[in-house]
Amino acid sequence: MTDGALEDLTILDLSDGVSGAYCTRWFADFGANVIKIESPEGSDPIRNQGPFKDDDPDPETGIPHLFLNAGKKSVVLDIESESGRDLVKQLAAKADLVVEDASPGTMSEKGLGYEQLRPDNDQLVYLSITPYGQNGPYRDRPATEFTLGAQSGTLHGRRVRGERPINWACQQGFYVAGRVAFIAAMGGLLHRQVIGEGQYVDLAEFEAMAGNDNAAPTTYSFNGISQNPAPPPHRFGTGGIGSYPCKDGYVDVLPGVGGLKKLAVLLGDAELANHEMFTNHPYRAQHAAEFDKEFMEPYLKTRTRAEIVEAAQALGMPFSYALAPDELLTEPQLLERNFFVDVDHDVVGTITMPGAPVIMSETPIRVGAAPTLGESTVRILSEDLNMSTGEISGLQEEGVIGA
Amino acid sequence: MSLPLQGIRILDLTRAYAGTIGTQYLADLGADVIKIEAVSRPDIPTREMNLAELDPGEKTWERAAYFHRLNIGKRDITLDLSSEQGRDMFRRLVPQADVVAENYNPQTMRKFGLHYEALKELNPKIIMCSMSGFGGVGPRSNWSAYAGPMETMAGLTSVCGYDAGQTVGSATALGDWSLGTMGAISILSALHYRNRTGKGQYIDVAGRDAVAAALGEAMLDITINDRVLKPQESRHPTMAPHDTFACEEENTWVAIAIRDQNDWDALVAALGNPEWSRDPRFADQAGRLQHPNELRPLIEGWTREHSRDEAADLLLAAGIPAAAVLEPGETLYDPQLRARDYFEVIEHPVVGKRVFCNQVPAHYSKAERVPRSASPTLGQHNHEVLGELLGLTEEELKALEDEGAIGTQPTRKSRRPPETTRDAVRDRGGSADDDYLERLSETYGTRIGPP
Repeated sequence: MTDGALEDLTILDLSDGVSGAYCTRWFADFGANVIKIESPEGSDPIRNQGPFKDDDPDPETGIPHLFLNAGKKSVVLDIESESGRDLVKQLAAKADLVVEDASPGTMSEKGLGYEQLRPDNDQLVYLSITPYGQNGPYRDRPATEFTLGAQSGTLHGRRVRGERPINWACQQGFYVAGRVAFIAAMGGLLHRQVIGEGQYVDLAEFEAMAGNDNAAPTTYSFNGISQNPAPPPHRFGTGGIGSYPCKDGYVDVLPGVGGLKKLAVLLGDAELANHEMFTNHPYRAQHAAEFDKEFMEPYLKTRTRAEIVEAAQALGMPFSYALAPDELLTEPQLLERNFFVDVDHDVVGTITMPGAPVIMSETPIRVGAAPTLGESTVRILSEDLNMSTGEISGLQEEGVIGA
Repeated sequence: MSLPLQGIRILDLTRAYAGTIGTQYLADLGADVIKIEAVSRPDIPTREMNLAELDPGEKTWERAAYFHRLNIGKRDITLDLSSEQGRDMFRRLVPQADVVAENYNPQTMRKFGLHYEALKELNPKIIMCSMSGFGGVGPRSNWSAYAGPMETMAGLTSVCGYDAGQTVGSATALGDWSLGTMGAISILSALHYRNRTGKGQYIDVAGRDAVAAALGEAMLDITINDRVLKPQESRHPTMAPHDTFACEEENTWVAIAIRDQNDWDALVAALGNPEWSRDPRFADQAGRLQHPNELRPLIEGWTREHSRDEAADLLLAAGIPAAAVLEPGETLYDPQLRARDYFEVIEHPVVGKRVFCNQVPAHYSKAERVPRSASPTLGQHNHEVLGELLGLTEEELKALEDEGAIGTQPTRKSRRPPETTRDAVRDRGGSADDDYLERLSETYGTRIGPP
């Protein structure tokens, strides 16, 4: 087991946003050769996003960059110059997939649109990622991950009763879009088996994010419910389900389908399962506060999150609690699955990173290190484009490529 | 015109949300997804959640929005894998399939004798994908999880919440979604590998890990900076203000993201150059990043005087990224989604015409959007699939029906939660339209609703 599933693929990554970077990050993890094109000034927005190591801004040590660009190769060239664009064309002629996320029309203006690259490579799949897609009335609107989330209907429910809705942490909307972008790109790549050629793929982050909808829009078309009531804050009084205070924090109580018999066992008295509070759901809902006072509070208040969850899970109930990021580093199941991997980075040193959420029997998923700016420029021009040392230094002198 | 996964056949044992959303991506890419339920164990409670017109009707199990949403374009057969007869028919389907997808507890397929090693004997090229909450190996592989636990145990919930300490869940079942999409991503990669090498493989996806894998920004802040990210409300590392602001009507908000000084200047002008905007604390991004709680009520002084849509339009006209915070149901009327055919009206024999998103919303230049078939009724394709793929005759199929081995009606008792009403939803602070069928019919130009 040595070959990555996608190791025969070459991806030319012209994107500079989070969705595109996360999309191509998966290609890198599955073994593809991902070539990230960057401008000579190191002005890539992801490289310049904090937080940074020791909060000291540096295009090599930004955390989003170290995570999102892991396992890719960095080639620095000036896409604004004619010779820079010519190099991109030459690389695209040998690539399986181009990923770009410029505003609609921009790449065509530069001579790097799909129609301009296709004549030299009819197998090329070309994925454009934009906030709203290549057409439609909102095409040219300004947007961010936050405003797209608001508009996609996925932000509205992220609140508790009486409070305003809040955004994801860690730009999760773009990570959602990045995964959908990977799926969309793989659709184009696998379609080559059927039709024998590549194609253009237009993906809107807005639509990709809207698809993480918990079925709510379709539900509206079935019964008119546009948004369910927001859940209550952490508290007692919800009748055996929800987020409850316990000895050392909060625990999410979720008996699951048919779980009230198990809940009775957890609370220490299987006979409780015959109590009307446990058998009659509408009755319990009406007397939720009493139910919690009598049954839940005495049990939860004297026990820790971990104790409660261990005991409930042993009975088959999907209780859980909110682990903080540092607590994940010692979680036994993640450790057993080798979820965290250590990666050696030229500037930062050894970095412990989240790895693959998947174990595949034949093809490894590997997390590499993020590249330093332009570290592969010379090698790729000489090896992939067969350029001579003289040609390369000529381009360096012109300022078309990095040193 | 063809679709990307034309000719790929998937035996789909997934149920509920997590697995089925994964195979929905593959179905929308054109795979032939054959969903397998048992009449004694259909996909319940999914088949009973969010009923059409909130009415159990005659065939309750065919009326659930939740099930329909997750099974568009799939075919459906009934096989009981807890019986040898059901397992035998399943085993005969395996050689004719490319992928088996399942999201049982990790022990179940082995208990059935249908684990990967057994399926590989029947079809060496088979790709089997197991999707579970915590993965198939490890000390907590038996733990059960819905979307919520996959999010909390992944660290997502701990970084998503209010300054006062209250955390919130995704509200979008991100845990389930992440598990399903990682299943789809892995299956697509395995199909590519199989095309190249002729080899199938086994895929073990853990849903909690699928959520944690997207939290690298929080995790690296720990491992590099030894800093535990705290809930940020809606704050952003570089943009400020970056918040939801209450508007005129109760429970309505506008989201505003100020990226830089230009955006700020435009915002100040749009708000009519109020006195407070000249406060030196708000003079630059650095200052604004430090004073979100001071800015919130000042900006709300303006947003509360406007409707949500009005506020968003005024700010957009000034070139500022702003958006109404839409309820999920409102997205069905969004002009951009409509213009790009994100939603499709699909007709079903029991619930009639309803509206569904496309799970792979990409527009392909060489794969035309073709109308998708409705989600299947229970056992709808028993004759078609078992007849064509297993060569069963009508007599044999009839005999299986008479024994109750296959069928079109659940034999299991309903576990339907108590009915709700739109009034009850509104009373508890939710939102519902009584005239949804009329409004949708007008928007989509066809009569939405029961046949």
